[in-house]
This record gives sequence, structure tokens and C-alpha cells, in this order.
Amino acid sequence: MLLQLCITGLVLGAFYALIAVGYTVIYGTVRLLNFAHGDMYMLGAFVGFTALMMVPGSPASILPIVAGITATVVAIAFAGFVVRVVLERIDSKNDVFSPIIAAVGISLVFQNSALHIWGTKPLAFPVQLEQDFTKPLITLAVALLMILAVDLWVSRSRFGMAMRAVGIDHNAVRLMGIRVDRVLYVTFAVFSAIAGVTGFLAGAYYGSIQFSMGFLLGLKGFTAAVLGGIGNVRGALLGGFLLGMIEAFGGGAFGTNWTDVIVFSCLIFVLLVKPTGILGETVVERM
Amino acid sequence: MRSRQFPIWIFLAIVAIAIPVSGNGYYLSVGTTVLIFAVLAVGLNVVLGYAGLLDLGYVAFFAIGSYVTAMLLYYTELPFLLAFILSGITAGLFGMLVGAPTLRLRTDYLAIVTIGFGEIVRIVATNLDITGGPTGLYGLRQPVVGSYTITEPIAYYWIALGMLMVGLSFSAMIRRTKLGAAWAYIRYDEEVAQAVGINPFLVKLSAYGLGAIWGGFAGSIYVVSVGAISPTSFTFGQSLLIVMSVVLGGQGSLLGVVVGTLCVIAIPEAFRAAESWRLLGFGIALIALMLWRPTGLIRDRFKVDAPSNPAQSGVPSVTTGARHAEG
Amino acid sequence: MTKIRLNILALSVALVAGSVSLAGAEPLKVTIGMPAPITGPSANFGDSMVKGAQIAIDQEKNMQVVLNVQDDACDAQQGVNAVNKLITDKVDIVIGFHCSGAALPSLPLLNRARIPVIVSQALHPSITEQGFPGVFRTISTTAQEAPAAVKILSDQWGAKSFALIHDNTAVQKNLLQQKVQLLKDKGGDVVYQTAITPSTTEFGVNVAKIMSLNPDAVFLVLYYPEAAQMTKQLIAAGYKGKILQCVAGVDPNFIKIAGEKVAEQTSFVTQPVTSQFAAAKPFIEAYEAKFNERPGVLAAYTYDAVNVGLAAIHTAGSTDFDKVVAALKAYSGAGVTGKIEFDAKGQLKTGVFTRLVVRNGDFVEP
Repeated sequence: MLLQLCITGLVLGAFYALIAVGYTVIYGTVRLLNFAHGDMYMLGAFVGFTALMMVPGSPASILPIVAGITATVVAIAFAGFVVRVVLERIDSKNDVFSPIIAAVGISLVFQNSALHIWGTKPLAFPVQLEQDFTKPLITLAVALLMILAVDLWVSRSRFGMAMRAVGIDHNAVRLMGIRVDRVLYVTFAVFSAIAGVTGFLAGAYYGSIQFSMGFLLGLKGFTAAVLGGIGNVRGALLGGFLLGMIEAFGGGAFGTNWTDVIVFSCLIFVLLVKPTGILGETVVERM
Repeated sequence: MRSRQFPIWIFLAIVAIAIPVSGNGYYLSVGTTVLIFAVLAVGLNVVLGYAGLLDLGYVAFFAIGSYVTAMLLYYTELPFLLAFILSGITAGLFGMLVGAPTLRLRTDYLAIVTIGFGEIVRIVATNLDITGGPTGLYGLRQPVVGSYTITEPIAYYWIALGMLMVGLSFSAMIRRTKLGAAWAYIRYDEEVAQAVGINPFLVKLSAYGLGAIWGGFAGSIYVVSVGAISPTSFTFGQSLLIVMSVVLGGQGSLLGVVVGTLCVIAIPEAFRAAESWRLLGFGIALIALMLWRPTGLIRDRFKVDAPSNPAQSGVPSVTTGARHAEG
Repeated sequence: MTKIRLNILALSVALVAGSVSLAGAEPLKVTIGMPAPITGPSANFGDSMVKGAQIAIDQEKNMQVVLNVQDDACDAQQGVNAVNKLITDKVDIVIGFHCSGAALPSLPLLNRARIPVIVSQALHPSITEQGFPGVFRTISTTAQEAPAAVKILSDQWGAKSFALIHDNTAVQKNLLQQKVQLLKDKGGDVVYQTAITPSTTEFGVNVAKIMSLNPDAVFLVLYYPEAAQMTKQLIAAGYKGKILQCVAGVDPNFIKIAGEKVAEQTSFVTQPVTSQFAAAKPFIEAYEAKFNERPGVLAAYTYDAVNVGLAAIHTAGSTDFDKVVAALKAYSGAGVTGKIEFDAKGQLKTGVFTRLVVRNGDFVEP
């Protein structure tokens, strides 16, 4: 049983980490939480579903899968770009909350559009991973690879440096000739696409998708990001897996109807005791 | 009262009185629902509109107040008035408990934590047997005040209306006090406020706590008006509806809050249109509002525009007191 | 002269007699109030409820029937509003309700308004247990389902140890508690009993626990999305015991999500679904002819409820509350869902449950 719980914890952790990475990097650049991030995950699963259904031939072969993933990446990157364009128009207004409320509005629009397009009932995902021990392994491998790639990109590449610089000081960066708006478009597009692919992966892993799948996952992904240290990619990785384990073992100990309470209590606890998270990043009060 | 708002208030008052007088049971039922929502919106207005705290889990206090009253009515013989008071106090205590660690945080963190708290309350209520589990509690005994047992729906309508009036008056009054001013100052510029001796944390906590107590009272009235309670009434979606009433109507403006509630609750009820179209519409409305009219439909008379987000400039500047032209 | 007078007299008598009998033969006008989930998660059940009722009304020859549908959105508050609207509209009888959560708070209101109620799709026992004189139900409840399920688990399969999982919704939890009680009474050992959150897909924790405790049988009191996922994950983990689903698992999407291979390895205890009742064939044909789609799994129950209600009003000769209720109490007839008779609390006397399995992508008798 212990082994089974560990595996469950790792799989959950993989998904949480992937979502947390998006939250954490976007936060690092614009100092705002992208409320609609969880919905990118959901849309990715649905766009993937539609793409797979549209490509002729048995869905489980190579061509449709590649096509499906590509379609997902392109569509969700575009969605992320649109989100940033909308938020950009709002950033310049007075209130601190306007962008957050706008993001909530965006989230509502995505969720309810998905509901109307694809219906309320859960749909069976056309591609499903083989039901054996390779499933968790593949998932973990994919997640780790993606996060590693992100980490390298953010910490080593020039674009990564630009992203981090933008997070420190927009104006200074502008003065040095970096197009802040472009950096942000790319950031949003890339990380939304990552969330979208995560959704596709979830569809393949579990076999069913539903329009509400993004809400809870978004909240937990955020919790993981905070747990590990917001703004920090490795923190997202750590936080994700840690949260997955907490959920698996907590559910085992207290019963699976308490898992969400445990997760949210963790969030409140971390913010109480060490708001910067395990690997730390300053959470400056900037009202 | 500003002369432009006055006629609208009169109109609302006429509608509010016409409903019970008409004797139409359906209008009465919908009217009571709208009134209770408006009471909640008035409470959230203190938290969000006055003090600028983005609470997206306000339904938690409504739930706490409701459950306290429901459980007391179900399991004990305590009089309703006592249950009512205890509901407010309990909700207020939880407000303090949750507020203490989280109010020092940034707005977006606060938003997510409050959502989490709302979910915690709902899930706990669903899991525990003492709260009736997922079925909830029903067949609650009716409140007795003096020698008079309150049974008629029309009585609940008047009680809800009375509560709304109290809430509106109290909000208007407290705004004019030093505390009210303190809320406006910390919303405007927290650092400067601190420099003049205001303790931002205590000030925020007082707003959050008051909002919590008020939500608790609203919950108590809600439970007796329906005679039953179930955890499905306290979802995140409900918190969103209350937030929308305040944001759409006009943060800070009391008339705005009432109008906002009407838009959010009464109009869709009148059309009884599909729920999901309503939410989609609201999402679009929120985005549109934030783009073009972030302060909401009705302008708040007292509000001064906050300075542009200091986070944007990256450097906390000495001159953050710069005002923008109202617009 | 006498002959003409006689003729006139005869004619007048005939005319008077004729008009009197015509007045007596004027058809009764009946308004049926139907609270149904038109929006929200149970919308498809509400839709087939209304359509099933419509078929019954089309077939009614003796009375003029009007259907007044109000959306309860499967919510307590909306349900109360919907019922208040029906009361204000002065309906003669209320037939419907799919969600117990919307029905329960509304019943006292209908009781006070003295309007008879026939519940056709909501399953919580309390609906009739509360004992309101005017409330009846034409569908079996979870209290009746539990013994049927226990029979399959203990008697048919001979299992001694059990795991039961529900999704923390009112009716399901209630069902589970009843079963646990019955199993314990029979000397069974309930080794694992817990709830999951609806809409989750990861059940690794539950699977882990079940594998380590290894009960003889698992009963999943879940709706089909979660039921299918959990079943799939259990079988993938190598569980060799028996798995039983409840009524809420019966849906074609169960087969799609779990996959045919998995679906064929589990059983479902359920009220017979519309397609199984031989007597329902004409109903199904009429439904398909009018609406171009197959009736929902519970539509036949509403069809029967409407017919029973109208028959009672016909027997009573009016829509007077006491007369109609008396007629309902005494009612004994055959609906398409089987024999319909009510016990002292208004609950359908004979609860029919059966075990179904999946063969060739469809739900059939084993």
C-alpha cells in the first residue's frame, strides 16, 4: 500500500508541479497571479480532444497524437497571448484589483464557453495511456523533462534573463531596450501552452475530461507554487511533489473526503509560518 | 444624499414595499432572496469597497452563521435571538482567525486564500454528521420572538428588508467615522497612512471582522427564512455572485451595491434563463468593466482614485501621492 | 292544438335535458405543476421528465390538461422559488422533482397550500418518510434499493467483507448508510467506508487502501464519471473481487470512460431503466415519434406519475385536495414501470430492482 500511495503522490505531484511552474514564472514577471491559468489546463485537454477526433485514422497512432499535441500547443499559446493582451490593457488603471477581477472574468468566460461547446458531461479522451506500470513512469518522465527544460530556459537563456529582469523592474528594463510587452506576451503564451499540454497529458492519463477540471487544479497548483517558493522554478517542482505526497498520504490517513481541506489548510499554514515558501522568494507587500 | 441618487432610492423603496403589499407569493419569495443577497453585498462592500480587501470567499461567513443558527435550532431549545447573536459572534471570530495571518498578504494571495477558506468551510460542513452532512438539516423549528412565532413568508421579507436598512445606515454612518477614513487612507496609499500613525493591519482586520459578523447575521436570517440548510448553498459560485454585485454596482457606493445585487440576482431570475449563459455573461461583464469602468456602474461619492500601481514602476517612489483625474 | 303543445313540451324537456347533460359532460380543466431541473447539472433528467409528462398528457382524453414547468435548478433556494411560483399560479397538483435537495424544503410549502404532490424521480427516503398526507411517490427509494443491493452482494455473491465508497452527495450517502447497516446486520464486515470528492479523477489512495484490505466485494455508490474511473483504476491495480455499481452508474458514458473490457467486469444494481419494461414499448415509440430521441432512463416513471395523478383526479371528480388524496391512497393500477400502489406514507409499495451487466456496449440482464 505504501508503494501505491507513493506512486499516487508522485503522479499528483507531477501535475501540480507542471501547473505550479506556470503560476510561479508568470508571477515572477508581472507580480500577479494568473487566475485563468487552471483554465488553460482544461482548455488544453478539450482542444486536444477535438483535434484528436478530427484527425482521420485511429486516434491512438503517432500522427494524430502529434497533431493533437501541436494543435493544443498552438491554441493554448494563443489563448495565453489573448489573456495577456486583455490584462495589459487593464494594468494601467488605478486599482490593484482590476487585473485580478478581470482574470476571474476571463476564467468564467473560458469555463462557460467550454461548457457550451463541449457540454457538461465528462467526455472520454480518445487517446489513453496503457493501463500498467508504464503509465506513472511516462507521466513522471514527461513532467520532469518539461520542468527541467523550463528551468534551463529561465536560468540560462537570454530570454530567461530578460524575463527575470522584467520581473525586477519594468522601467529599467525598458530603458535598456528590451521590449517588455513582447517578453510578457511570450511568457504568457509559453506557460499557458505548458498548462495546455499538461491538460492533454491528464486526458491521456485518466481517460476522461470535464469542463470543471481546471478550477480545483488551479487552486492546488497555486498552493504548490507558494509551498515551494513563489517565483522560483525549482520551488514549483519541489512544492508540486510535496503537495502531491501530502494529498496522497493525508487522504490515506484521514479519508479521501478530507484531502481538499488538508491541501487548503496547508496553504494557510505556509502563509502563516513561512510565506516565502520552502525555497523562498520575497513576498513584498505592495498594495 | 446626492440629488441624483435620491430618485433611484425612492423608486427602489416603492418596489420594496409594493412586493409584500401585492401578496404575490412568488415575488415575495424572490424578493426575500434578493434582499438577503443585498444584505451580504452590503457586508462585502465594507470589506472590499471600503477597505479594499479582495475577499473571494465571503460565503464562508454566511455559511458559518447559517450553520450555527441551524444547529442551535435543531439540536437545542435555545431561543432564536440568542442563536442569531451567536451566529454573528462565531462568524466574527473565524474572521479574526483567518484574517490574522492573511491580511498582511498581497491582494492576489488574499484572494486565493479566501477562496480556499470558503471551500474548507463548505467541505467540512459536507463531511461532518453534526452539520447534517451532504443532506443538511431540514424541518427547523421556527423562531419565536416574545410570544409571537414567525411563520409567514411575508414576515421574513420584512425582516430581511429591515436588516438591509440597518446595514445601509450602519455602513453610511461608519464611513464617516475615523475608522472609515482610515480604511480610505490605507486603500489610497498604505505607506503614507502608516506614516501618519495608522496601523494598516488593525484597520484591515476591523473591516474584515465587521464583514464577517455581518455575514454571520445574514446567514442566521437566511436559514430561518428557508427552514432548512444544505452545504450546496455555499459554493464558490455564490461568493462570486456577491463579489459581482459589489464590483458591478460600484465598489463603495451603497446605491451601487443594491443596484448591483438587482442586476446580478433579480434580472436573471426574471428570465429564468440558463445558468451557464448567465455566468458567461458575467465573465464578459467583469472583463468589460475592468477595461472601461473599473469603479462600477455607480460612482462612489467618497472615493478618491488610488495612485497607479507602484509595483509597475518597480521602485517605491516618494511621490506616490500623485493623484489621477477621476475617470 | 294539443299535439303542438305536446310537441313543444317534449322539445323543451329535450332541450333542458340536453343542456344539463352537456354541462355535466364538460371536461375538467387540470393544471399540473412540474418542478424540474431545467438548468444545472441535472438538466438532462429534467428535460426527459418534461417530455415524458407531455406524452402522458397528449394521451389523456377525458380532461383538459395544462403543464406548468418551473426550473428548480437542483437547488434548495431555487426549488422553493419554483414551488412558490406554482402555488401562486394555483396549480391543481404537483408532479415531478428530480433532485431531493430541491424537493425537501418545498414539501412543507405544498402541504400548507394543500396541493397534492406526486414525486416521480427523486430518491431520498425522507420525502415520504416525513409523512405529509398529500405526498406520494411512484419510484422506489434508496431505502428500497439497499436491500436489493445487499441481496446481490451477500446472497448472490456470497461476499463477507466489503468496501463502500460514496461521493458525499445527499442521496448517495444515505444509500450507503442503509447498506452498511444491512450488511452489518447480516454479519458482514465493512472494512472500508469513505467518501470521495465529485469531479476528481485520481483515486490512487482509495485503490491503495482497497488493495491492502482486500475485501470480497466493493460497492461504488458513485455517479458514472467517478464510478467508471474508480472501477478502471481498481481493475488496473489488479483487484480480483466483485465490483457493484448503483443506479447512478447506469449511463452509456460509463462504458466509454471505463472502456468495454472494464465495464464488462462489473455489475449494476438499478431500478429497471425505461428500455427494460416490456409494457413501456408504446410509450417509447410515442416518445421517439414526438421528440426524435430515446426517452431518458427515468422518463417512464414520470409518465406513470402523470397518468396516476390524472386518474386520481378523474376518480375524485374534482381537484379538491381531500378527494384527490383519498383517490391516490386507494389507487391500484399497472403503470409501465410495474404495479403502482402506495403505502401509508405515500411511498410506492413494491420497489423493483434488478442486476444489469454490460454486453456488447449496452446494459442488459445477465
